[in-house]
Amino acid sequence: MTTVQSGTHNFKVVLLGEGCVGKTSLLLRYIEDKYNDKHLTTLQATFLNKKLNINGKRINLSIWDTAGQEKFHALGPIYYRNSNGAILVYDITDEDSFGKVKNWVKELRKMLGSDIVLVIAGNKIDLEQDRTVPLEEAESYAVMVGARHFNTSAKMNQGVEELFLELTREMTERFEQNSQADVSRTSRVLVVEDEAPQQSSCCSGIRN
Amino acid sequence: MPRDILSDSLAVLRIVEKFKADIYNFSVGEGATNRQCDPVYQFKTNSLPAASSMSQSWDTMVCSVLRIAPEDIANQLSLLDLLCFKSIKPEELTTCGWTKLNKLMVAPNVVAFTKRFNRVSFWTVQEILNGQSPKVRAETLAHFIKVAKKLYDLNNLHSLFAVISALTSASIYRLTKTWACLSKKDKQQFDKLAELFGDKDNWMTLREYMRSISLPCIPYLGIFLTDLVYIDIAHPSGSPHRVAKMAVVLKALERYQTSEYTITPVPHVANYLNSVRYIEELQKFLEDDQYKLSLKLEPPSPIGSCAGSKESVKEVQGPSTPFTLSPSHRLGSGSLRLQGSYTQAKFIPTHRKCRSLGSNIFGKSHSEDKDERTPAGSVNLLDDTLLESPSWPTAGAKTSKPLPFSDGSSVMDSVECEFQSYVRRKTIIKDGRKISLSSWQRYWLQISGNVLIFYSSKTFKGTSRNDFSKERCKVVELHDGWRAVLMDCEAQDAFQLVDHRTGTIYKFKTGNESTAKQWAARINEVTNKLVTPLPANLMSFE
Repeated sequence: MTTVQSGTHNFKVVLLGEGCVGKTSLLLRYIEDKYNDKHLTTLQATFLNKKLNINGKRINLSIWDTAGQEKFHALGPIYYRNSNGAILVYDITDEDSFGKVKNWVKELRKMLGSDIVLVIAGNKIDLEQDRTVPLEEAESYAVMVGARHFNTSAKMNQGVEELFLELTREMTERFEQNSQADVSRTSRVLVVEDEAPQQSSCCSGIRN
Repeated sequence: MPRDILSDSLAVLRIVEKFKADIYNFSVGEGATNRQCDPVYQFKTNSLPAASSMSQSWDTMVCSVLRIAPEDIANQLSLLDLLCFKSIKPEELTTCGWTKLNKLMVAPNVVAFTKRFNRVSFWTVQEILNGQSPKVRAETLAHFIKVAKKLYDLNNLHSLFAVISALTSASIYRLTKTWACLSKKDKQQFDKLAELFGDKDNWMTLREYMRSISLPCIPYLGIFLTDLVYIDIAHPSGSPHRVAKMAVVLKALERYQTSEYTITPVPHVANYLNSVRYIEELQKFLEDDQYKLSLKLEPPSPIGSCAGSKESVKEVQGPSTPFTLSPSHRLGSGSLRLQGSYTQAKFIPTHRKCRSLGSNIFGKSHSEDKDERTPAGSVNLLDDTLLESPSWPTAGAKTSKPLPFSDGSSVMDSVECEFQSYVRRKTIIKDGRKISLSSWQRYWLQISGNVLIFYSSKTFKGTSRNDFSKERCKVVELHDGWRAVLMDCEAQDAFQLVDHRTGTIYKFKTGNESTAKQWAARINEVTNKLVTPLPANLMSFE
């Protein structure tokens, strides 16, 4: 959900991906900037939060991570519906995890349309020698679905900051565009009716 | 007898009508062996006794869950769950084995317990979708809410969450007609139970509830697993805090593992519950199938009426509809809330087209709507193929026409509205056809020049401007065929808006008499001005 309180943007971000792709490491690296920190005390905290400042705008990211619960079929649309952004993480050494990212993209687009900003992270580039997901394939897929692609390594702290920064920048942009669109759209509108009894529908058409 | 949900959804629904009393028999091994198992479908004559309460033999087979008392289902589920839960070993947890590729080897019981969760969830969804009419589905839905209540009473949070997540899934939650058939009591019960599983503050409600209750209790394992993953990453092997931190989680789980239920096993119910099977590898397909079936059963409503068609039920509650989660309480924008933690619901758990109400004010054309909902207009999300017309995000503008009093530029930016208020609107006759299942929709209504502007509701009950979207959802241009007629005889606060040209009648309720009078007066003032003075005898006003 986006709320603006006293000039601060609050964005909700979901972190998604197969277990073991390192999404929690990415998050901890980013939030705490401590990959293996023994003093980490964020457990049972609220969502993991990060405050940042971009171009003078105060932004508060609430990042929601379902680590460990991936296999429970419990975390349906009700949990991610208010997200402004999603980070889809895969492990560059695990093709299945990339397939899972594709599933998530479909799911999110189906449920949230284009309102949500997506970024895809190919994690564990420190294991480049074991890569099984071709970089070109991942990048062209990202372009196709309108997402940015990043190569990251939580371990080496590579690409992590950039990933979150770009996501935040895009969410801010999207938010501001939408606010403007609200204004500009109002200038030329005429839809006279709503309850047109048409039976054809986009989904049933494609899906069946 | 093993029963396969996947086959239920894929084939039984079609086949069953031919083989009314046949049961789909499908044996598969567990876990990794599934992959090697070719499905063997057997049709057997089933001798299930006909249930007197069911009118169709079709239902007696598919909806047999209705014949088992909620208490029995909850009891037997809990016995089965507890057995599985108790077999989870600390080593499975401390190694985070369930996240590993060899999870079946290193964390077999965590995996089995998770599977139990998913099966209960998919089973719940499927049983509801097996009902052919909203009424039958609502009956099953109510049945599962009763099961959920019993699970709650038994402190079985594991299966309780499985059932609740089924009811809030994309496939079930969107069935507004079904939800509308549900009794108020059942809805409230559902809302209350669903509140437990809000993700706010890292599942604070659930965590506190689980801490507060006494044994026996089967916890929802998921949040413990999340905690363990965090400890595992934050405190890798060798870290001094790792053991202590893990011990806290393990100790809590160990305590739950000492739970005992004094429940008598009922083998035939347990067998029935155990018979729920599907191939885990095909879970994604099962989910897709269920969603497709859901769309087929209750096709997405046209824009503007996505809140369901049986909402006349709510008229009694009117603007003071209590703040709840159940979808049948949704009005207008279909916002969905949990624990009041979301002030602005973006997700509308219905067909994506309905989302146009909130974000796509142009969205009348179905084909364009399709483009618009496609990200970057480039990929078909269902099969990853490239779409031919990447027209997003500008596609929607095609349907727009300038407003009558606007030159297409900035006139409407600062709408100078002459009058505005909260209204409820119901379509009575549309283009000469009577709308039998019309529902009351809440709007913020403005009149500006000869244009009526509608704003959809963001909240369930609010009647002030802030409770409605800033984005207009529809605009009606008044012409000389429109008349507003007060309806004092029926309700003091009501008026009808009649379009004599197309034969359309809307009924409006404004909440009070003077607002209704003002509306009628202002609309008629506008439309009177628009009457072309020429051959007056051709105009017919009744």
